[in-house]
This record gives sequence, structure tokens and C-alpha cells, in this order.
Amino acid sequence: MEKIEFDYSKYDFKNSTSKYKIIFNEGLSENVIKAISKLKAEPEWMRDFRLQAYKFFLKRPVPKWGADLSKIKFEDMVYFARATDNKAKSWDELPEDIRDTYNKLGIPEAEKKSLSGVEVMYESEVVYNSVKKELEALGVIFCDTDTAVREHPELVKKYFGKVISPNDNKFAALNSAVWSGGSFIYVPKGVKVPMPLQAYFRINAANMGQFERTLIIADEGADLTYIEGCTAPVYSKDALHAAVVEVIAHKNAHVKYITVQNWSSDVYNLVTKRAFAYENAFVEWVDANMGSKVTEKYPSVYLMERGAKSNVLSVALANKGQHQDTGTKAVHLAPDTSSVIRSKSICLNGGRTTYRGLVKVKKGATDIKSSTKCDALIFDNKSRTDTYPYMEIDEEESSISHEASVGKINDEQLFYLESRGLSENEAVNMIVLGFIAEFVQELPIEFAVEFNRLIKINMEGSVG
Amino acid sequence: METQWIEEYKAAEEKAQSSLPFEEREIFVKYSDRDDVFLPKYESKVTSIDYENPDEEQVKITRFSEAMEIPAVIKKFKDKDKIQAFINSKLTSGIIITIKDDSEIKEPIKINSRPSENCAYKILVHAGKNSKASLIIDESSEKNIYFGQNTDIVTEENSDITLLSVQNFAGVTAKNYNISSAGNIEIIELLTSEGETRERIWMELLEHSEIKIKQSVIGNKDSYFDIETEINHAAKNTKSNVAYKAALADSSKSIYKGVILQGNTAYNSYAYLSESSLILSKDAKSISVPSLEIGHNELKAYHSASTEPINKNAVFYLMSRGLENNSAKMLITNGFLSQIFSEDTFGYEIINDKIMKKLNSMEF
Repeated sequence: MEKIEFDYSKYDFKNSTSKYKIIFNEGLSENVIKAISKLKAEPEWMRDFRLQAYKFFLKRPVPKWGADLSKIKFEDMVYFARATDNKAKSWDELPEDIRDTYNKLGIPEAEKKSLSGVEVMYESEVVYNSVKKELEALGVIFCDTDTAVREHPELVKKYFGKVISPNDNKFAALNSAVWSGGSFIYVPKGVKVPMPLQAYFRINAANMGQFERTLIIADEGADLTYIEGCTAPVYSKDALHAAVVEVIAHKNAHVKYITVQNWSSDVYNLVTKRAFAYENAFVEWVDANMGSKVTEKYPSVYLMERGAKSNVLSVALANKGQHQDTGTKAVHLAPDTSSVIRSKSICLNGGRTTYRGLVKVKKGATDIKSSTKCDALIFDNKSRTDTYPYMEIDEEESSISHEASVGKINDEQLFYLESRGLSENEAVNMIVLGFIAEFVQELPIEFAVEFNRLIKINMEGSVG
Repeated sequence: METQWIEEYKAAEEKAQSSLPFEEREIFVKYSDRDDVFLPKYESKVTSIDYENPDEEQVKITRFSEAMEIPAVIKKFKDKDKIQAFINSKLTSGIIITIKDDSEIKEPIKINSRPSENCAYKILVHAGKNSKASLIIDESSEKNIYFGQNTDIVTEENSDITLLSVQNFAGVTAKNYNISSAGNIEIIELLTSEGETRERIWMELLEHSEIKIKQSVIGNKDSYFDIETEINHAAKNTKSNVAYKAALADSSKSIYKGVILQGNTAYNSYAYLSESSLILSKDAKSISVPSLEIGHNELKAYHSASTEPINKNAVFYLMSRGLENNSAKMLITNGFLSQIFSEDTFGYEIINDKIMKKLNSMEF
């Protein structure tokens, strides 16, 4: 079995953007939005949706409570670029430079392993899409959202923008106005998807804002796991990634959404992710934030009907110059719902992690159980870790608990491991991997291997 | 009491108000409201503060009207928010408590206040090196008044100060503590007001200092508590332990915001913050944000928070032993609060008496 190499040098390539067929000039206006919509040959309702969202975007202020976002220049962004005009049906049809990039990232290996249909995102649009026949036979729809708008308009229209309204926040509004690409998944009643669905996302052009829009619908009793992994080449100018992910889990459905975010260290990653869980549905967010300059991401679950459950497991690592502002929201709107939140964060070399979570229990939502646990590991006195758990409880019949701890690597553990012959670096790695083991266990094996390597690379030079 | 420095001080504070925010911390702005309640337009009247000085040799207590110049303790602190400046600008009286170096005061210093009209006053405490003393502050009023109080405390190295505060107001209470400590300090507080209460504690811990805070609120009817505590571990070898408990009945509401700050100078510091709410009725509401801001690795910090209803099995058990529903719930609530007010707590009799009085007056 060929291993997926995880070596940072492979990100030091930069494909020329001169080969792109269409690149819009920097800046945003109603005309740009109309042009995007026209180019995609979208129905009128979608164009109106975009224009409406643009108005919200202009009205909404840049949030001030979190990381410093004042350096984002919305007018200097490119809002749409298309790498190839026609989508390739197979790997060989892809243009060589794009194939080259993916080879460096190890996509073909992932495919060879036949994990699932790989939907590869390159620039704003999906250019490579190989959905397995197996999925089609089950009636599962797995395509990019642009295709879904064309081919499954009734489904898209019913759910699009219903979980996250375009007026939710500034970045959701921006995404709603200029979105492009992303995954659309529909799993019909009672269908259990046998393999995890995956999509790789890539940002390539400098100053390129990427605004993918993912919509996942799990019908009654459906079951699916979706994996998204992000990597990006290093650029000197700031790029903005403002995705919107909407998940709808109907009665008795189960959705597990796994993210490994590893954008390059100049990306602003401001993502809105939200799921609606209906009767007895179970939604899991498994979320790792390793890369980017600033991440603000709070995957949330709205527990809409009796018996819904949510489980959120997240890991954040902030190295030099990074600020990972992450957390979770669990909003209990119905009785007998439960939520579990586990957060692990590591900061070193002046990196900064923030946990910002909300557990909300609305009136009438009785017999709620919610538990939150946040652990932070801090390596030096240049780094910083903050914990802000908000709890808003309007209902008597609910049990809510929260715990958090912050500390450094345990000296005794380190001493013990070193006494058994491990070097300090190996010992630190082992303890850190143990600290996040709970998370890594949730990942498929290829991801877990890749993830452990990523942690080790980040830990280099953290001791001594 | 109007000596010249007071006049000048009040005028300066009046001016300072405009540049200060209603809520100092951006992240808490969402949970700080009722501006009009805590910043009303009103006239404050002079009210007397009664005090008992157990040891006149070691402790000096002076009223503001007797002080010839501005006390040093005042100059030590800057206003953090609008309300603090507002209260300072309305001052009607104040006392200065100075505890001498190397003194040990066995009996507590007592301060009582039973205002019947709007008032604002200030308590200044300066505890000298190696001193040991305790204070009991008992404040209440059944009238619907505005009660504003700013307490500034400075403790020197190796001092040991215990402060017990019990308050019960029918109207509006706004209270602020500014503390700078190089010694040991313990704050025990019981708030049982039926009105609206806003309290802020800003604590700065200097080298080798330690603070313990035990705060408890009992809410009934429409009582509203907006409590915020900030513990700043400003130097190495500092320790803090904060516990907050809220028992909330009827349509009472508690908002608790706690911040532990351990910056990059907080070498070898330890912090623990815990918050728990017991919800006794379906209209009661609890919001809590126990936060940590950590910038150093050679330290330990923990926090925990929980919100729970009264345990039905426990009520059932007690009722099966012959207790009525009301007294069963009262017993359980008392047990919940006694987790922080154990029998060896300073002033246990006073607290227990107040808790029982309050619980007896409530309907569960």
C-alpha cells in the first residue's frame, strides 16, 4: 500500500493562473453577481437569492468579538474564477498542471484505495468528479452544488439557505451572494451509504476568495459520513475562505461530517456550518483546524425535535501567527435532546486558540442533557488560549455541565517517557498524540495517518 | 461631608463617565443590559453608615468628611466602567479603614447600612503588611431605592483579610469591588435581593498572593443578578479559587460572567473557577460564561459550570420521610448552598441565618 506523504514542501508550488479561462476582476458589485449567475446559467430564483444576500452583506458589520478581521479587504478579492470550461469525466482528461497538483497531494492514491467517489474542488468549481456507480444504484445524489441547482432544482430550492439564512452573518451573506462549487448530497429514505464520501478542496490563485456551498440532506433513516480535507499552497497575500455548510438530518437519520482543515498560513477561514436534527436524528461534527491564519468556525446543531442528538469533537492547533477561534453551538429547541461537546486545543510558538461555545436551552425543551469538555495544551508563554463557554438556560428540567482545563505538558509523563529511552521530541509527540487520540480515532485510517504526521510536523522545534 | 477634595473628585468622575463603556469586556456586552436601571437619573441622599471598630489602636476608621485630602487608596484604581464612575460622582458618604502593619484584629470590623433613600457610598480598605483582620458588611433595605457602592481594597504583603458581605435589597443595587492584593484575601458573599443587582469584582493578584471567592445568590420573584468577576493573575506564584452558586426560584434570573486572566507574567499560578446553578422553577433563567484567558504555560487553570434542576428523587425520598414538598425542596437548596458555605466558613452563623430566613420566605 502506498503511503500518503505529508511533507510541507509539496505545498510550495504555485500554478500559474494565466491558464484560467475566466477570471473576474477584483471587487464585488451587483453586476459581478449577475455575471456569475449568468455564467452559471442559473434560474432566476437563485440570482435573486444572490442579490438579496449581497444587500445583507453590505448591511452586516464585520464581527468584532473574535479574531482581528480588519485586514480583510473585500474589494481586493477575486470572486470567481474557473479553471477549465468543461468538467473532466475521468482523471486522464484533466489538464496536466491540475493533475500535477493533485498528484502532489496524493489524490489518485486516495482514489485507488476506492474510499469513495472523489469530488475534487479546484478553484471555485468542481472539475473532477467521479461518483461511483454504487452510489448511483442506491439513489444517492453526490455532485457539486452547481450541478445540483441545474439537475435537482426541486430539492435545492426546498433546502437551500433554509438552515443558514443569507442574513445570518456577514460571511454567510457573502457566501450566499457569490457561492460557487461545494458538495451536494442527498441520501434517500432508509439508505445507508457504505463508504465515507470525500471531497478535497484546494485554493490556488492568490487573493482568491473561495466560497463553496455544501448542502447535505439525509432523508428519514438515512446514514452517511462525509469527509472534507483542505490544503492550500502558501501565498503571501491573504486569501479568504468563507464557506457555508448546511446539513439536514431528518427523522432517525445519522450524519457524520468530518473536516480536516489545513489551509496555508495566509488564509482567513470564516466558515458557517449548521445542522438541523429532527426527531431522533443524530448529527456529528468532527472538526480539525490545523492551518489558516485566522479561523472562525463554530459548527452548530439545532436540535429541532424530540430525541435528537448531537456530538461535536474538535481539535485546533495554532502555531506561530495563527489564531484558531473555534467552538460549537448546541441549541436545544425540543425535549429529550442531548448534546456532547469535546474540544481539544494546542497552542505553541505564539499561536492563539480560542474556544467559544454556546449551549442554549429554549423554554419548553425539557429533560435536556448537555455536557461540554474543553482541554487546552499551552507550550510557552508567547502563546495564548482562551475559553468562553456561554450557557443560556431557559428551562428548569435540564442538566448542563461544562468543564475546562488549561495546562502544559505533564513533566512527570515526559520524564517517564524519557527514562524509557525516548528523546524529548518523541516523548512530546507521544503525549500530544495521546491528548488528541479521542479525535484521531474518529478519522478513517488514511486521514488518521496523515493527521498524526501533520501534528508531528507542527510539533517540530516545540521543545528545547 | 463636602470637603474640597470630594467635590473635585465627584466632578472629575462625572466627566469620566462619558468616555467609559457600560460593559468593559467586549465578549460580555451581549449579556449586560438594563442600562436605564443601573444608570438612573436621581438625587442621592446622605445616609449614615454605622460601624464598629473592635480595636481602635490597630485599626483606624475615618469618614470621608473627616479626611483632609484624597485617600491614597482611591488613587490606586482607575474606573473600569460607566457605573463605577456614576456611583463615584454621586457619593454621599464614605469610610476609610486602615489596618496597621503587623496587627492582628481578633474581632471582626462591622459595617452596617440600612438606607431608606437613594444613596451611593464608598468603602476604602488598606491592610498593612503582616496584618490579619476580618470585616462583616451587612446591607439591606426594604424600600425601593437605588443603592450604589464602590469598595476599593489594597492589601500589602503577607496580610490576611476576610470579608463577609450579606445584602438584601428590594430595589436596585450596583456594587463594584476594585482589589489589588499582595496577600491572602477571602471574599464571602450572599446576595438575596428581590430587586435588581449588578456586581463587578476586579481583582489584581500581585506576587505570592491568593484569593478565594465564595459567592452565592438566592433569587425569587423577579430578582435579577448580573454578576461579573475578573481575576487577573498579574504576577507569579498567585492562586485563585472562585466558586459561584445560584439557587433560582420563580422568575429570577442569574447572569454570571467569570474571567480568569493569566498573562505571560503569571508564572506558576493556579486558578480554579466553578459556577453552578440550581433551577427551582420553570420560569427561572440562568446564563453563565466562565471564561479563561491564558497566556503562559507554567500554570494550571480549570473551570467548571453546571446547571441543573432540583433532583426529583431526592425530593421524593425526603417526602417519603414525612417532609412536605416545600420543606423538602428547602432542605435540598440549603444543602446545595452549603457546599460552599461549610460550617468552618467565616461568619457561618450569619450566613446560615440569612439563608434560612430567605428560604423560609420563599415558595417552591
